Amino acid sequence: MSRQENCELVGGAQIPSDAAVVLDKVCHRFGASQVLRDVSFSIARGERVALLGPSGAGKTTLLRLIAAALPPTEGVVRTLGQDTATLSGRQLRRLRRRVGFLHQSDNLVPQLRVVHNVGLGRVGHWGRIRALWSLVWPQDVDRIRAALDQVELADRLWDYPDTLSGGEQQRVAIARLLVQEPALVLADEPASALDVRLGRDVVTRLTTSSLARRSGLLVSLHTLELLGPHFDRIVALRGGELAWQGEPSQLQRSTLADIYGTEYRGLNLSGSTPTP
Amino acid sequence: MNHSRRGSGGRPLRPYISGLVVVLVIAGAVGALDWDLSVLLDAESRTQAALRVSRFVGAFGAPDLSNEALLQGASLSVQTLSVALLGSALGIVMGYVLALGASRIVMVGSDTTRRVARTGSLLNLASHLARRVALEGCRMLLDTLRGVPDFAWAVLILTIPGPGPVTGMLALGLSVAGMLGKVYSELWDSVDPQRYAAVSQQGGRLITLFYGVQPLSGRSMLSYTLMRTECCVRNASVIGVVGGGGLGGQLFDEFAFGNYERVVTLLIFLLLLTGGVDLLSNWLRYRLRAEHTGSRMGVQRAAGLRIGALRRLEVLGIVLVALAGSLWWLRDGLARSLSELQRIEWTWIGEQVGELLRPDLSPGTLAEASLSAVVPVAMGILSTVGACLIAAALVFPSSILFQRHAHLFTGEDPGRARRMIRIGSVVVARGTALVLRGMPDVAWVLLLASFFRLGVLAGVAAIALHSSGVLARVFVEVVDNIPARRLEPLHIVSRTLTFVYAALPIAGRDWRTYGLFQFESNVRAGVVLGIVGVGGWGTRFTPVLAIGTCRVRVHF
Repeated sequence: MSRQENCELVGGAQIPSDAAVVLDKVCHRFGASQVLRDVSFSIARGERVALLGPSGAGKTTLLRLIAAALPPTEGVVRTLGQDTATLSGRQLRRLRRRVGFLHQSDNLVPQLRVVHNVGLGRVGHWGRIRALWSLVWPQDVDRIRAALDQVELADRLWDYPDTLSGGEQQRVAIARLLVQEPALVLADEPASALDVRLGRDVVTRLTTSSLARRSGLLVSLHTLELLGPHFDRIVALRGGELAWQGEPSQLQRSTLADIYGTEYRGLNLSGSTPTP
Repeated sequence: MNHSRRGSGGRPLRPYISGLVVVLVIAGAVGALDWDLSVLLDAESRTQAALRVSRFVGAFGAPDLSNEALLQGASLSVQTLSVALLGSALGIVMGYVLALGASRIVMVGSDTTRRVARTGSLLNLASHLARRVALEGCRMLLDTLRGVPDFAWAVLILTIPGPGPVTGMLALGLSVAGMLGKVYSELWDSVDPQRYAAVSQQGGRLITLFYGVQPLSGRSMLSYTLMRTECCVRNASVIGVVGGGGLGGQLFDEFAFGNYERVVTLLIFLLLLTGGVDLLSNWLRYRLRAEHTGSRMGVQRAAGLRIGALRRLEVLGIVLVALAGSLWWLRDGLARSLSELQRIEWTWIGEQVGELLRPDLSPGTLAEASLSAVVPVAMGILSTVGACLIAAALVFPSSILFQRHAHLFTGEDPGRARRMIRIGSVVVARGTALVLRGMPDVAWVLLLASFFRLGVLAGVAAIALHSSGVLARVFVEVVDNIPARRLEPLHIVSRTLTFVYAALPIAGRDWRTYGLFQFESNVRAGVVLGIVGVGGWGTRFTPVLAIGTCRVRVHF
């Protein structure tokens, strides 16, 4: 990765070029429907950002754009210094290895044991032959076991995912992120299939591991109750546009009502507006 | 928690034990067969084999394209197609009638036991019992029809109408009836009774079938029937080898005379015929599915129904014309068989049938029969393993999901050149599978005979090659049915690793089911190849039948 300049001009603001994520006037369309409109913001290395917004605001699309799973229709997405639209082949694979992505569900292959599901995070480090051999004779078992130990599931190493609860399955997916050692973690409503207590646990695990490893983190959340204490910043989307961004302490009820519109009442805000 | 056996470090041993069992079974199958590898080991016969191969390959460069050859190929293709169509029609009708007898809801009804208990009259009980007996009888008849391969039916029937299209037609019809009868009756019986309760409360069992059950299972019935008809075309070209007429017989003769240029011409016709029917049936089933989803969406439903009714008439017309055409095309053969009928000595046939019903159950014959049963089973095992490996290797290059639509989960724009390469890979791999399954296993044996002579190796390779093409199609279908969104969370590095880590495990269960189905039919193919001269049951079959002792019945 070249780093000729120290700074570059994006969206009129000075942003360090080693930012984890830079979005510049990003638009995205699926057919006729405009999902994202003129979105610009950046995430510094090691910064933990929560992405808020009602359903349909474009959160998932935004995350997929950053993960290079989609090229933007217009504008530029730079992830870990790479313009995602221009990448292909080996460069794209290298970027993929350094970006961890946690989805709402379906992160695991139900027909593979936990050890392989976590090991999937290592395949980028192993090379093809070793990755294939691992399905016959699991590789790096100690590292995988240590990662599972961090999410308190070390004893489920050889089990199948369908013997685990929903929360445990998400923790296995987090263990995969741990062995993948990405420079940036993206999580798309990782707790939406869980109850609030388990959901908070998943989000806290993500933020603490990001703190410990100084990797960037962008988590989209469907409810404010999950907004834990470790976030540096909040980015809010509404109708595909950037509606608000700032520190969690600056978030006002009126802003929330503005962002969420009719969904506002469903937010369970009773006394839980984040206080830093 | 899992309490299965664990090795050191808690590693579960089960996968390794099952792996070992598979290896042992394969080794056992290898050991059970009499491999004659002298052709490959002996220097002189190796050069001879190489000569034959090079002559054959040379013939591929210059097939016999004279008018006479082309005319012969075309007319034999039409004959094969006619035999297949008439055979399927016969099979469909017989299968349907037998399905009526073998279906629980037709013969017994869904809640008759309760009704019998309620009315309790002796007459009712007797009729209930009689229907039960008829049900079991029909099911047994279907099992027999299905259990004997069409190839063996041809050998059995041959004596009555004499060699020619009628033998082929009857043999195909009997085996198709066995398959479809079972499928139809099972489809009917598997419909949830709640869904046709409104009809069954009003009418009797037959009314319930026609107005309630059959409309609900019609689409699956049609799909299976299409698939069977497609198989029938493939088998019709093979059945000629034992005297069923059509491409197969001519192919066998030309091969025996070493007339390779003509063989290549016939093979091209064979591939065009089977490949064409393959693609046509794909397209029809695709249309069926599309129509289904279309009506679900409720788009112009009434208009759609009217068009549907019109189209049904149209299809019926086409089918009737095709059948009439087939009859006309085969008129000479049919007339000959009819005249043969008058010359048949019915007393002799009676004796034969009588002997069939009094099978030779002496310990010697039984032991011989069970010993020769080992060969087709071993061939079935080895060829299925080979077929699964070849098919699995073909899946990735021919998967539309992993080649053409890979960007849906990789997010990569492969660029124009690479996109063309990927489309090319799909075309080549699918074309390979089409050729592999388009050549019936008997045709493969004839081809491979020039490499290995007629032997077990040629037989196993032939069945493996043919069934790998069959399996490749369904294996790819399973993989292509995985939604791309399902793969996105699992795509971390490359398409290949996503294929191995996500698509293979997800598709694995279906692959295993298809593999086991294929094993069953490969064992049957092993028996069939024995008749051509590969060993096992089949070898006994022909000479024994020729002598006319009909001991063969035991072999089933």
